[in-house]
Amino acid sequence: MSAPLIWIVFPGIVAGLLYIIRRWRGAINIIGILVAILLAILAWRMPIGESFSLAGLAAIKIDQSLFIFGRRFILEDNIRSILILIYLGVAFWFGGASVSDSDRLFVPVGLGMAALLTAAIAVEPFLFAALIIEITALVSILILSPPGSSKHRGALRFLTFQTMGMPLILIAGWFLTGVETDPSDTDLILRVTALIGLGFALFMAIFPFHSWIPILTEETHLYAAAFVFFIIPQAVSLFLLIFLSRLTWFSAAPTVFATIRIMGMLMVLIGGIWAAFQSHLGRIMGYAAMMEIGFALLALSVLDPGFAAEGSDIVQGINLNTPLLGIFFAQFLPRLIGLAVWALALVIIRSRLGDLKFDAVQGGAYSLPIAAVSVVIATFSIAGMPLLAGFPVRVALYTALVEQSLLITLLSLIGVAGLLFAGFRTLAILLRKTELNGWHSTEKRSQILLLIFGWIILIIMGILPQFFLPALTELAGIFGSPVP
Amino acid sequence: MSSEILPIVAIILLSITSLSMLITTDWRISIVLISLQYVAVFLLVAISWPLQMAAVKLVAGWMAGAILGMAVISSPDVRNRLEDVPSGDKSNGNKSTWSTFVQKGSPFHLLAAGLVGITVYYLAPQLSEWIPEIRTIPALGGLILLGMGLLKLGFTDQPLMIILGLLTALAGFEIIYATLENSVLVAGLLAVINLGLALVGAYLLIAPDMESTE
Repeated sequence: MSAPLIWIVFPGIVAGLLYIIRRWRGAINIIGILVAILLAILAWRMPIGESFSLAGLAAIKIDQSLFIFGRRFILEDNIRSILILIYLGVAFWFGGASVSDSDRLFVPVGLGMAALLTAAIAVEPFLFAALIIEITALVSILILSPPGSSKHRGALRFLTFQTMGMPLILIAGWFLTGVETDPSDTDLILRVTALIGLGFALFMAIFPFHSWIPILTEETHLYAAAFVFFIIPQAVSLFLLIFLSRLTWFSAAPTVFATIRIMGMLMVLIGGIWAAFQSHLGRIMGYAAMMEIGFALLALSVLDPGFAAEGSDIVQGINLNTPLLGIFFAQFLPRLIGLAVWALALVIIRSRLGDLKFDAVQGGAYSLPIAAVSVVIATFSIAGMPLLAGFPVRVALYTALVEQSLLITLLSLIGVAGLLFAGFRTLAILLRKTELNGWHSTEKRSQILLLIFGWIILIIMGILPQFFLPALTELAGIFGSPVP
Repeated sequence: MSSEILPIVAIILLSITSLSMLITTDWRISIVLISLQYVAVFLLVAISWPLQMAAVKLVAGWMAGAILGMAVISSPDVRNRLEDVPSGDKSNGNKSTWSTFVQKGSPFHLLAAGLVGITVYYLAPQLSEWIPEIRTIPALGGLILLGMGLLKLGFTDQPLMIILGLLTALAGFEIIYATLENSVLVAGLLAVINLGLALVGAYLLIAPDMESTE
C-alpha cells in the first residue's frame, strides 16, 4: 500500500461513488464528512515510509510513492500535517453543506477536488501540478454552476484564466532547465520570471485577473463559491511556496519577493477599497476573499532572504525562519472559518430576504439576528479586528512586513480599513429600522447552532491564539527538508 | 517529400479552420472546423512525437468535438438558443443565409485576425530562437492557434464559443509543448483537460435546462 493510494486514489474513488449516489443527499454529506475525517486521522496516526503496528497486529509499511505512466506521485512523512489540514478543512466545509442547502454535487466534487489538490502536491516533477490544478478548476465548475443555473459568466471567466495560466507555468518549467544550465543568462531569467509571474497571477486571481471573484458571488451559491475562493488560491499559494523553495536562482532574484510583496499589497488595498464601496453583501465577501489572497502573498513576501536576520536559516533561496514561514500557515484556519461562517450566513440571508443588495437586506438583523451578527463577526475577523481569529496572525504579519517596507504595510492597512468600513456599513444596513422591525429570529435551529459554533471558534482563536497558532506554525517545519 | 509537405498543409488547414471559426456563428460548422483543426494539430505534433502518441491529440480532439456536438443535438432548447441568438444579435427576424453562418462585424474580426497573423509571422522565428528544439513550422502553427483562440475568447460570451476558443488556444500550446515534453503522463493529462473542457462546455450548455438538484 502506498500513501498516494490512500490520500489521492481512495478519496477520488469515494468522490466518484458519492456522485453516483447523489440522490441521497443526507447520506453523501455524512459519508463525505466521515471519509474526510478518516483521512485526516490516518494522516495523523500513520507514519509514511516507516513500519508500524496497527492495533497490535502485523507490521505495516506505507510506501511513499506511486508510479503512474512513468511519473512519480510522492507523499513523504513530513507532508502529513498538510494532509491533515486539507482533509480536516474539507470536512469542516462539508459540515455546513446541508445547513447551507448546497447542491448535492458539493460534497462529491469537494472531495474530488481535495484528492486532486493532494495529487498536485505529490506529483513529480512538481511543475506538472499546474495540469492537476487545471483539472481541479474544471471539476469545480460543477459546483459553481450547478444544474438549473443559467448564469455562467463568472464560472467561464474563472475557467478561462485557469486554462491560460497552466501553459505558462509548464513552458516556464521547460525554460528552467536552461536556467539551471546557465544561471548567468539574464535574458532567459527575465523571460522565465515573466512567464511564472503571469502564470501564477492567472492561477491565483491576482489583480487584474480577479474579476471572476465578485461575479461569482452574485451568480452562484455563496457557500460553494467561498469554498472555491478558499481552496484554489490556498493550493496555488502552497504551490508557489514549493516553487520558491526549490528554485534557488528564482527566489534569489531581488525582484521576485519585491514583486510578490507589491502584488499582495495591491490585492489587499484594491480589495479593501472596493469592498468599502459595494452595496451587495456577497460582493463584499468576494473582495474580502481577494484580500485573503493578498495576505497569503504578503506572508510569502516576508520570506525574502534579503531581509533575513543574521544567522537565519537561508535554504534554497528563501528565508526558512520557521516563525516567519509559520505566518503563512497560521492564516489557514482563520481564513477557513471566517469565509465559511460568512458564506453560510449570507446564504441564510439570501434564502430569507431574496437578495443580498443593501436595499433588500435593510433591517435584516431584526429577523435574522444570528446570521447578521455572523456576517459582521466574519468581516471583522478577516479584517483582523482584535479579539477575533484574524487578529493574532495579522499582527504577526504586519510586524514582519513593517521591517521590510513601511509603505507597503501602510497601504495594506488602508485596504484593511476599507474592509472594516464595509463591515460597519453592513452593520448599519442590517440594523436600519423599517416599519416592520421587531426582534424575532427566523433562522433554523441547525443554522443557529452552526453559526454560533463558528462565532465561538472565531472568538476563541482570537482570545487564546496560543492553543492553535503553534500547531499551525509547525507546518512550516515541512520546508526544513530539501523536498517538502 | 510528403514529410515536408504535410506540415505546410497542416499550417494552411489550421489557418483556414481557426479563421473560419472566428467568424462563424453556426455551431455545426464550428464543430466540424474544430475537428478538422485537430487533424492539423495531429500532423504538427507528429513531427516531434511518435505517431501513436500524436494520435492521442487527434482522438481527444475529435471526442471533444463529439461531446459538444452531442450536447447541442440532445437538447432542442440548447439548439434553439444557439440558433436564435448569434452572439448578442437580438434582431433575428429577417436573417439572410449569410448572416446565419457569419458573425456580425466580420470585417472587424478579419482585421483583428490579420493583426494576429502579422504578429505570429514575426514571433515564430523568435520563438524558434528562444526554444531551439522547436522548428519554425510547428512554432507558426502553435502561435496561430494560440492567437486565434485568444481572439475568439475576446469576441464571445457564449459558453460553446468560449470552450471552442479555449480548445483552440490549448491546441496551439500543445503543438509547442509537444516539442519540449514527450511524457506519457503529460500527454494523458492534457487529453483529460481537453475532454474535461468539452464536458464542462456540454454541461454548461445543458445546465439551464437541467432540474435543480438543490
